[in-house]
Amino acid sequence: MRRFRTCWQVIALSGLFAAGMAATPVVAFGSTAGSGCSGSAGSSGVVGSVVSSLNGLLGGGSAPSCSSQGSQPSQSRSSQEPSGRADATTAGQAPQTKAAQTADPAANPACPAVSQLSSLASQVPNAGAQLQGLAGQLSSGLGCSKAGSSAANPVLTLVCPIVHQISSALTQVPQAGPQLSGLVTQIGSVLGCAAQQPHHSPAPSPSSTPSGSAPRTAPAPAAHAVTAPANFTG
Amino acid sequence: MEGRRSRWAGFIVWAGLGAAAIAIVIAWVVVLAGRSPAGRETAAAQGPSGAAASPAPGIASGRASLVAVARVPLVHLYQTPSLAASPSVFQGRSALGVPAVFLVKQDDGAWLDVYVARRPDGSTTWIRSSEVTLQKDDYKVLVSLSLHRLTAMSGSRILLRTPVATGTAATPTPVGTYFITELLRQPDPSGAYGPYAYGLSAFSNVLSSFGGGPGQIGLHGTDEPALIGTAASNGCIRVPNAVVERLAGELPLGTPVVITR
Repeated sequence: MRRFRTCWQVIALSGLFAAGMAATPVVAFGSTAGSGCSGSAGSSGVVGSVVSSLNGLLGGGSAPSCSSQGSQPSQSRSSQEPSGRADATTAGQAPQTKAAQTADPAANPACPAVSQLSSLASQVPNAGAQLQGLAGQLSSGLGCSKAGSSAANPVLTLVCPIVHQISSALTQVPQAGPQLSGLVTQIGSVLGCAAQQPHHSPAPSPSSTPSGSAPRTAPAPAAHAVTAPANFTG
Repeated sequence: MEGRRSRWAGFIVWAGLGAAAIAIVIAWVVVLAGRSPAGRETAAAQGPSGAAASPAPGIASGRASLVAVARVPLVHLYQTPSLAASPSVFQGRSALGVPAVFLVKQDDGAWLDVYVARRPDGSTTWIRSSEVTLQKDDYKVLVSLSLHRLTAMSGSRILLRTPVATGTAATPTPVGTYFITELLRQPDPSGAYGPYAYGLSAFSNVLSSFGGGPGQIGLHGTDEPALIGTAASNGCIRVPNAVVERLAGELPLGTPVVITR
């Protein structure tokens, strides 16, 4: 009887553990529950902020300020988006206009980290080593290095290859600059971080998207001509 | 006896919680499988990759086509819509600063199956939507080699129709679905390329290089208007200078150019 009981308890505990893993937003792995600095209703958390910061730094733009997230509707997602990880690029769905961000940066433990990242990278011309370290932190935070974790959590099977990609790329590119911004954007996209830039431009205006089903695209303008001698086959 | 009943009650509660937790896990996995790129891979992998045979739906049906414009320094190209695949890269801007464009063959949300301007002609690849900006293009250019005729359309409306010079038998104009990759204003408008020259995503099948370039097919004006309407070029499509001047003010980058026999 004792053996039987123990067996059931193990099953029950395993179930609870698995549920806990599954119910935990991916961005909360290794973090302390960020409270929405990145504008995704808390689901982006620390990692989302890191990705946001990385994306800004690598892309040549300024790193997003915690206090200014809410004023960048085209770079954010709706705070009402379920779980903050739904893909805004799903066919037929226009990116939603971001509601004003109301999180208090001062109360968000992730914001100082983001600020620190910005400061750090801005002081280092060749930020390759620093960024590699960040990628390592990201990998560690996401649990990519834990044996079997990818198999245990399907989210990680998505995230880990990207993180590995970044790490690999950083070791191969001496001047880890804007070339890597695309990869980081991918991370932001997969994680649902608010750092993801608008999928299509220009962003649809709320007035033209009453039902949220606005066209994803703008009409293409006439090609801009560049003055240069051609060397086509003729 | 009392203790045994208490233990039973305890482990029944645990078992119930465990079962509920497992149900949550299963539901979560199902949801994730539906969202993940990996979940789409099976369906997406069935799409053609490599040499493209059929044009994009917009091109075939007369609807507007979709053009992806690079918005990152390097666009990653995947053989399948999966992040697990090792991507190659495509420069987001040319040496002249022209943004890379791709003609979208299939829009799968987070992933796009696109025509890419590289050999072999008609190559397609998968790219991430997050690395490009999508634009809608109502224009298309149809070229009939046998008729030596070019038809430019805006939606279902014919914008213009003109005779053209096409490739000779030795240097044929490649047949297929291509798109405009660049527009070059010529320093000498009275030169061999006329006032403007469009670069296309097509490459000559016989010339691996030309004039220092990669053997790219162009659509341009000419300084030999008498050859218009004949097979006279090295593969490029030559149009009257007045025509290319008009097109230059209208056609966007990424505009489909469908070349048929």
